[in-house]
Amino acid sequence: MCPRLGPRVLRAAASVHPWLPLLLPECRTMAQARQELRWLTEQFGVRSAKLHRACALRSRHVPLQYILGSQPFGDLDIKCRKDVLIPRWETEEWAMRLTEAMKEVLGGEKKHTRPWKVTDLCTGTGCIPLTILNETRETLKDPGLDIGAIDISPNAIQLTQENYKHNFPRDVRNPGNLQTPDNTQPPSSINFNIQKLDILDSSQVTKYTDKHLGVINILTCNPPYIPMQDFIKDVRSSVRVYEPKLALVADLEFYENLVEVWIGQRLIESFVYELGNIEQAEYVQKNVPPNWNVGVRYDSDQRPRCVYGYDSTAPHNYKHLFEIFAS
Amino acid sequence: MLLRTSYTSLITRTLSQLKRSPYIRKRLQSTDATAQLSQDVSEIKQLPPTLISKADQYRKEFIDLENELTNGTNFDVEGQKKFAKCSSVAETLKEYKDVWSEIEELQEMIKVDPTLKDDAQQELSVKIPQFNKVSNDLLGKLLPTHPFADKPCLVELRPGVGGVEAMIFAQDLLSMYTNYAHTHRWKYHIISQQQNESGSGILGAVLSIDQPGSYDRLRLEAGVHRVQRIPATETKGRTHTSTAAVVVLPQMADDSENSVSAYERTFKPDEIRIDFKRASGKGGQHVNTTDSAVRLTHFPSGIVISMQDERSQHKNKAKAFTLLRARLAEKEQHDKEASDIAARKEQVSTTDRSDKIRTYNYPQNRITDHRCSFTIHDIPGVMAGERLDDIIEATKAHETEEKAKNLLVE
Repeated sequence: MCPRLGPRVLRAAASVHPWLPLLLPECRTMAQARQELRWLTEQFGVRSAKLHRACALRSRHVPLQYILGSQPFGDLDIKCRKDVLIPRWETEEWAMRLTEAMKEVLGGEKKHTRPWKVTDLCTGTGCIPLTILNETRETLKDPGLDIGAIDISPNAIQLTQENYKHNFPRDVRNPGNLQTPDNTQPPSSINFNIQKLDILDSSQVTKYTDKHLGVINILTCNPPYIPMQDFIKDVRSSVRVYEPKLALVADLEFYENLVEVWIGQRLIESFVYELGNIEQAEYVQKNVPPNWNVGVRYDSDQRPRCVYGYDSTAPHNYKHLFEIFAS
Repeated sequence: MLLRTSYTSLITRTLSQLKRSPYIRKRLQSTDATAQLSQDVSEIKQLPPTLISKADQYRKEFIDLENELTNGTNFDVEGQKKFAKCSSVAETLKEYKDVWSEIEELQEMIKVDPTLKDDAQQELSVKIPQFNKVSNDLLGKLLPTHPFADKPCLVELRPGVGGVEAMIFAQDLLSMYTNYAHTHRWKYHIISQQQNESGSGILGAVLSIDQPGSYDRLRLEAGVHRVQRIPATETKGRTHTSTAAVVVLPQMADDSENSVSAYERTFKPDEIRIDFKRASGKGGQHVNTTDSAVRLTHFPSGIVISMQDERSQHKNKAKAFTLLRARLAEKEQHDKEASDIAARKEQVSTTDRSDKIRTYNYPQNRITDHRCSFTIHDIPGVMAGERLDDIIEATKAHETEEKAKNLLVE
């Protein structure tokens, strides 16, 4: 797939820094390898044993974010760890756009009396709900914000909690404390809760929504969307070997779940789902009830990246919100 | 006098070869300062009558505005600014006239009664420096202030001719400006910095100095800086001449992500193009790229900005837009100044942008600013950021003088 790295290139790299050749197999270009070396040096120091180990790991295609332990996402610093998917720039792009649209449209809406309810499924590191919290908490503090983060993996739940504490150290309340239901917590306009849940099991979803009353205003999700036959063919080896299959491989399961459970049981008013191919968007479009409007957002690489939709009979101006989101 | 100057420079030159003692350096400075003082006493810096009449206009306006205020008019922001300016000019003008009349009285006294000459002379030696200071103040207040004077700034550095040595010099200049910010206790951060192949110098860097007003302080640093020294890379001991370019830009707004995304939307889609390094294939979860470089092209001005230091595209994009905003503002201001000059149809030698503004001569331990012919013999002190202010003061005084000349032409 890639051209061979000749001895001349490796020797040139070694003359710059003895461990630079270790970075070339993954980075492929000298400029990118130097850039990565700079990031690694910033974290591990110059010529330390740690830096050498980090370069050695990188030569075995371990993702840079796992080695450094973090990835910037919007204004946040998101911790990354083995067994949890690393946030991608495409996700960052649409999540930031969504928060901009929310600030512009929802911030101006006066008649809303109860907190805006936003829930993120398959949350992983928690990057999407934490960014929404960070960006919109000022604009939406009146009437308030109730954000939920849901994942099936205990690793992801653990990491989301850590990321919440890491990025919002001043929010003293213990997030995602499953033992205390909402009514025992002190009343606050901003709420962030984390929940371990298998959303494909509809009985668990029913149990969850019974406890967290009220319709969800915006449902976001970055589900696994790579079909098994593409997993070998299209996925980079670094991703295939080191990132969790649980967060990557699925075909239409999560889009079926969206249509049947979340829309079918009238639990939500609008949604944004990331996707891997246009068929997934077409599936959603074909199967939603007639009062739902569905559209596709493209990323800045001109690839279809999100499917979004809203209930046109819902009392809020979702039409305007998603017009901004899609632009 | 002549003997002492040459002796001083001889000592400085010799000392630069040896390890320098701070005590001796201080001694040399203090002798210079006394020489400066004795010069001030003999010279009265009176302002030309056209300027005084201009100041008088401000005074009249001030009286009008004050009357309006007593009649109960409320000023808007612009009105308040105008009022503040007029009142400060009027105040300084009054002081100027007071001190001047005192001086005149004293001079009269010397003529009328020679017995009082000694006393009067003594008083004059105090009054004249005071008068000169007030006169300078008034001149400064009459000159139009730079529209971006209160802004923080960005300093862009780029090596010029001279290969690796120029890159090393650009690096030296970068550390000079960071040291300068450090000695003033100003907040600063390096927005981007590209090392050269061997890591000894830089291919380019952008330094952000977040102190409001730092733009006014540093804007005259813009231009080509020339260095003459024996480079570390030279094996035969020859002196080389290399250059580095410094661009100083006003920072128009805080570079928080929100204001940047709002700023981004002020451009029409066909005015601007944002390029990422595209990965082939399907993107999204399929790949995990660490290449976050962003290139921003602004078509109307032809400005292209590349940014790759941050690990997220979002942050690189935000930084690129901050830089674009600064460059556009600076360009606009420069175009405006150029059209003003064209309108006056006269050639004015501008103090910014002229080529080769300064020379750093290491063998002679000398820095000369070519615009105002100011020379200082202390390269280590300047590069440590401690004595850069001496040069900046000199260039500023020069600029004030130039602008005052233009003011008289008008």
